[in-house]
Amino acid sequence: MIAPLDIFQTEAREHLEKLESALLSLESSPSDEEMLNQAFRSMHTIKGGAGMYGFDDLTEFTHHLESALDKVRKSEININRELIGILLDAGDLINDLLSKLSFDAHQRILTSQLLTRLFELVPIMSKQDTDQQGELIETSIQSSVQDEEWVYRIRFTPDLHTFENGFDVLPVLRELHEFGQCVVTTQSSKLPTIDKLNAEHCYLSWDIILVTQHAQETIQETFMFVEDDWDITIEIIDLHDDSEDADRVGELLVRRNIISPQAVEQTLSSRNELGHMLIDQGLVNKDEINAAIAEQKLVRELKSHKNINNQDATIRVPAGKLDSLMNLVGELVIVQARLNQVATTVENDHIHSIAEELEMLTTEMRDETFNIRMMPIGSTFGRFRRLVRDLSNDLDKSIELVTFGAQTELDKMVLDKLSDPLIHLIRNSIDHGIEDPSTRTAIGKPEKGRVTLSAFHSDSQVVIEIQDDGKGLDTQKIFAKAVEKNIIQASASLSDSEIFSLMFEPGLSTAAKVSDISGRGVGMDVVKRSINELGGSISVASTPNVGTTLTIKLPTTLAIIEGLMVSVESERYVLPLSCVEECIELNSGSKQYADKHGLVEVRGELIPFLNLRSWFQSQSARPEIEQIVVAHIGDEKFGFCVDEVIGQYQTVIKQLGKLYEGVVGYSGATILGDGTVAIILDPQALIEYAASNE
Amino acid sequence: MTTISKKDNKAETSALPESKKLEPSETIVIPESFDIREVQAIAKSVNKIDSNILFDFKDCSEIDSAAIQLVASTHKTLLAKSLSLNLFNLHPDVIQQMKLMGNLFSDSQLIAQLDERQAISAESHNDVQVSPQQDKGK
Repeated sequence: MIAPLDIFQTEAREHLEKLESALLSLESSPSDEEMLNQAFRSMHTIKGGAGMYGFDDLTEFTHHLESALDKVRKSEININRELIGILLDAGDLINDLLSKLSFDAHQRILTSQLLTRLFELVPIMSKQDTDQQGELIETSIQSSVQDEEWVYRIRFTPDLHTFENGFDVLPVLRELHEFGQCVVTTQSSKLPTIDKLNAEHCYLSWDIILVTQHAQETIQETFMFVEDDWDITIEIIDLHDDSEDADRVGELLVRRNIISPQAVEQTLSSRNELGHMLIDQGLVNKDEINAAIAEQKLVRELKSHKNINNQDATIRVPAGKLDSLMNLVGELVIVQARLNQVATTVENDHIHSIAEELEMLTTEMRDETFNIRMMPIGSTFGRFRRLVRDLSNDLDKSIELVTFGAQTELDKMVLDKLSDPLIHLIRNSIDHGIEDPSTRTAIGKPEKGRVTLSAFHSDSQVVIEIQDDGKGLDTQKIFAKAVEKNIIQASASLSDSEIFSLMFEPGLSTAAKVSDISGRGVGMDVVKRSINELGGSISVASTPNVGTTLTIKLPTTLAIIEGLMVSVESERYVLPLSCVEECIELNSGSKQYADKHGLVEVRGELIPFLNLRSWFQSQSARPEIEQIVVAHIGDEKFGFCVDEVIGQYQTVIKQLGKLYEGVVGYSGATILGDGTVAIILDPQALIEYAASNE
Repeated sequence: MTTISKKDNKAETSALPESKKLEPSETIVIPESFDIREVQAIAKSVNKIDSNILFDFKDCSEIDSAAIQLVASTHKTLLAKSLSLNLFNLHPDVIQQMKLMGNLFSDSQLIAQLDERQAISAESHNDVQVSPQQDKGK
């Protein structure tokens, strides 16, 4: 079970992200009411959660920020870049303070400094002003409500350990009161006498009739920090629906747990029902009554079903549990492969049928489990808007971030590990790529620079591009620096693409001066290594005075990949299918036949290849016909010469373990159906290692 | 008179034996800051005597739902023995908090008490402002 406090912190962080996103949007569109309401709601919810957990200092701090946002909503003040800056800084501070029950001296200074900045900017904010927060909130919430009035039937039973977990029910009740007219009925029938009472347990439950103009979603937000632990139902009482009145008393008594539904049924059946009376009077026949009752029952069932579906739309699950589920699915895929292998050796239709059915179910289960772990890359993109804003300010550059494909999905694990490399690349684009406004104007470019971040699917991979419209890479400078650092010989003849690739070499930085932002020459090599560790690749394209594009290609998941199984001598290996272009035969009579490596001509194109048999130092005689698997690595093509191509294989990736951490060219291993192990090859690392050992 | 010690004052706490019997018409003083378990330990002794109880909230301007539940349980215990609970010296905010909890004190006498206290408090606390602290959780 997730601890309630963890839920608060997780959800508060989600709201901080929403707050940041809304504030950044407001910076470019200050009149966007939806974004303003979003910012206010997020701050309001964080404050509500903090209050519920007794984080008094945090409650008070967020209270002032919320008041400022409310003044913007009421058009008492205008939102401007400075206020947005203060609120963004406040968001960062709240993120650090989420776990602090009360602030220490240093934290008090930080919050006080920030509030001083706020009060200076919003002079009409005084203590008295913020002391009247109750009115403020009420008015501000009222300003955003709908015209129509709703009546809600709210019933909630807090978890028995609610008080023990540090919750207080009062803030929830207080907030519901703020929404409108509230009739609260407390169910205390389970409250024991004092000798049996555990003061830290909660025995009470509440029935509330709330008349308000707020939408159900807003009412539900009141319970967002406790919805997993408390038993909560929120229903709209449709005053226009006459059927609500039909059995009101019985239904309401049942809803309040005063009597059971069975008792109502029994009582009703003991007297002459309307149907019976109507039949007795000869006004209707029995069939007509039965039909009407059947219709009534169906409608009620449908209504009830609809409510259940609405309530259970989403649940929160710890990431660790998903990892564990993914591991188990991986094991299941391996066992299923073993069963398939056994099934092929047995002539038994039943076994074949079971194996086929299991394969179908396993594939479905694998796909569903993948989907659960998939997250839109937009959640990561959101963070970069803030990064670009802050860097633009620091460097006195005017830069906009444009994003495409925010809905492109990636495995959560890949996404988590991708964040740092992307931050580094964006920082580099802004620091080194985009020129300062005066230079841009002088060469006829728009004053405002642009960084474009886009994501899209290509085959089984996700492609992420970071594009800037800056000055582009200086090939001469990179070449000179690489010579100076002894990375290449001065006499080397390299293409532009090869020179661009040098920027991923350790220690190479062409920045004229080292700044806090970039230019220490550490980073690009780490970026490349991080991307490679994710099973991806990175390439660069650049045109002087037009800009630079960095392209990252990644597998959608790190857990299971589609692989191409090959054999060399008696060993089997797996190459990621995503990089395989084609397979061609190589016979011993060919002029391209080479012991270790060589070039093969494919439709007029010469492709270098690595002979894996020689690479693995196999001693046995080479087969008469070998196969070359042609793979693309970045924009280049390379071949891998193997004994045999076995075929496509669903590969569950297992880590090789610490002992093999330094071994280059392998990205993991997999267990085959017969229980043996096949090594998964890392084509890019293998080629690079082979090239460096030439 | 029985005094519930503040939770941060250990010396005072240890001086209070949990089994201490309450005198008839005993007053339980709830301090500004209290540990619910200590209040319960004292309140539990009401089960052993036949006496009306008076909860004195004179130092308390804020109360939480666990404390209100404890008061309600004490009330329920006394009611079963035809004894009564009096709530005394209530700060207007505490009255408001108790009322927010709904019809927890089901007998009309206690509800009337809360209304009466609220009326008296309103007169004597006309200058009381709602502070942001009390506004937490909105």
